[in-house]
Amino acid sequence: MPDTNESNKTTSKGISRRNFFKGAGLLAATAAMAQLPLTGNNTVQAATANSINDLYEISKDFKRFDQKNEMFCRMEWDPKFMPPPKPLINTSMPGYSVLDQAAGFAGWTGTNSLGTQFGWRSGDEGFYSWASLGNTKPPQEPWQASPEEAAHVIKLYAQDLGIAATGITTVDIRFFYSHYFHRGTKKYGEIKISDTATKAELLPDGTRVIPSSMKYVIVMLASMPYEMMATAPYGVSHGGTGFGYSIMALYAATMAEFIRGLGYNAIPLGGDTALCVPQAIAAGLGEAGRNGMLISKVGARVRIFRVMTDLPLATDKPINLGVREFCKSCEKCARECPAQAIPYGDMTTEGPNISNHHGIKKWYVNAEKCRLFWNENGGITCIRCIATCPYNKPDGYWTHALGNKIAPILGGTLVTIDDMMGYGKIVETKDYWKRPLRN
Amino acid sequence: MGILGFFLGVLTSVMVYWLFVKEKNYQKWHTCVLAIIFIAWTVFTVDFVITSLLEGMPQAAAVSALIFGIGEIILFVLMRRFSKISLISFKSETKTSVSGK
Repeated sequence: MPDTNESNKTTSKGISRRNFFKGAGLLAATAAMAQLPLTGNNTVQAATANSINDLYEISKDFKRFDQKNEMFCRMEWDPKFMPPPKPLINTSMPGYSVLDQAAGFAGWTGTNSLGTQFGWRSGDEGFYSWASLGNTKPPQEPWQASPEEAAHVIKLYAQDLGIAATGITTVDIRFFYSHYFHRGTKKYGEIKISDTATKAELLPDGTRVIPSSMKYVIVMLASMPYEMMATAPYGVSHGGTGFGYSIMALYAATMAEFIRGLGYNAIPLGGDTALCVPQAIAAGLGEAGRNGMLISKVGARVRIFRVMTDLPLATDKPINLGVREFCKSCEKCARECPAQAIPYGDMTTEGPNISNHHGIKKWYVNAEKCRLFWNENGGITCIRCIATCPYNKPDGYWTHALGNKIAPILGGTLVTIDDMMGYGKIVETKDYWKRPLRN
Repeated sequence: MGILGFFLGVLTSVMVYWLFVKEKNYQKWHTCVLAIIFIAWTVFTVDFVITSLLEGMPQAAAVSALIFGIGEIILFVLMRRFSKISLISFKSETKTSVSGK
């Protein structure tokens, strides 16, 4: 009996219509899948670049940044911010109770005690001391290893200490502050990388000198507690930020002491001496997001610290995770920023004020608006832009890791889903304190 | 998380047995591909919903169940369309015996 089924009719080449559609469907699916790695921000492995210049448009007249113009320093000398705005919060307000604020300010214990001051002054204090803290003694002969082996050892040691990620790059003088400014003593001086200097030191004229032999920069990331960050901009989130700074000071000092114990020089850096984000990008740890922060390969909830050394190390290459592609369509941080300090729209090469480092094509945050909000917020650091970022998710879930990788492809759709799922919402501190214990 | 991994392993095994051993979907390439996608989608959906609950995000669990559930239904309908699978195996046997008359 002849087959009268319409779908089983064959073409002149002997292919049934059904099989034709099956093949076409498979071809379309394969083509769609094949596109993923070709977008430049693939889902399998991040694309690498040879240098930061391949990823970012940096103008030729790009100048080193003067730390004095950094927003925290401006609060010390710029008449525009004197007197600083008064706090608009008090302990009777939800999110700012005695309990919340105590938890917030206690988080800073590690970094604000023992003279460390988390490097927001000009470095070389407390845990960030440029001289040995005396825990390891330099050997008679420096430890010898190939750069690859040494880099592996450093990364392994960092990993086992609990450091979230480690990358290695070399000194790029463009990203070092031209001058330092000490917010405590108001000391101001030049920062020089010198070919003739044999050790890092402070000259009598106030110049800080770093020998060019200390050309390797180990860039490391410390994670901040997810649950505490989720309460931003309330009091408890301040503790999350502070604890990130506290733990990174300890990590930086430990790594520096380890290297000194191998017979090499080491300078631990917090937020001082050189810009953190460009160095982290150069070390292959992530990209700069719309919020001006590093969106790293381990997420958005990180603090950056560095150790400069003369221990020869194999370096890493910058990576393109597709973060900027995603940020173009996301804008969630701009929408959620209580100070409206984060820009919407495209990247630019000029920022809104002197606290921006002009000359790189990126999103420039209005640091003045951001910092003034902190004052109004009672000195509580606001990290709402990190807390609300779709790249900020709890650790340990492969589903979120997958989501981060396909974010550049999904773009704005992911933000809609993220909102629908309730991620990035402010967790009220009364709810925060009622959570059950994990163990 | 260990229990979840075990549960997902059991779920995968049951689905592989159902779709490949019992329903013999390996015989045609398109049903084979569809069955693999169906299994992967189901495991991902279940994992996403449970981990969202574990991380204290019931809203995320509900939304993910809704979003991935739609895909789950579409895949199930496609599986039924192309491989004539049935949730209750005796149904297909009954049909065969009726048509055999």
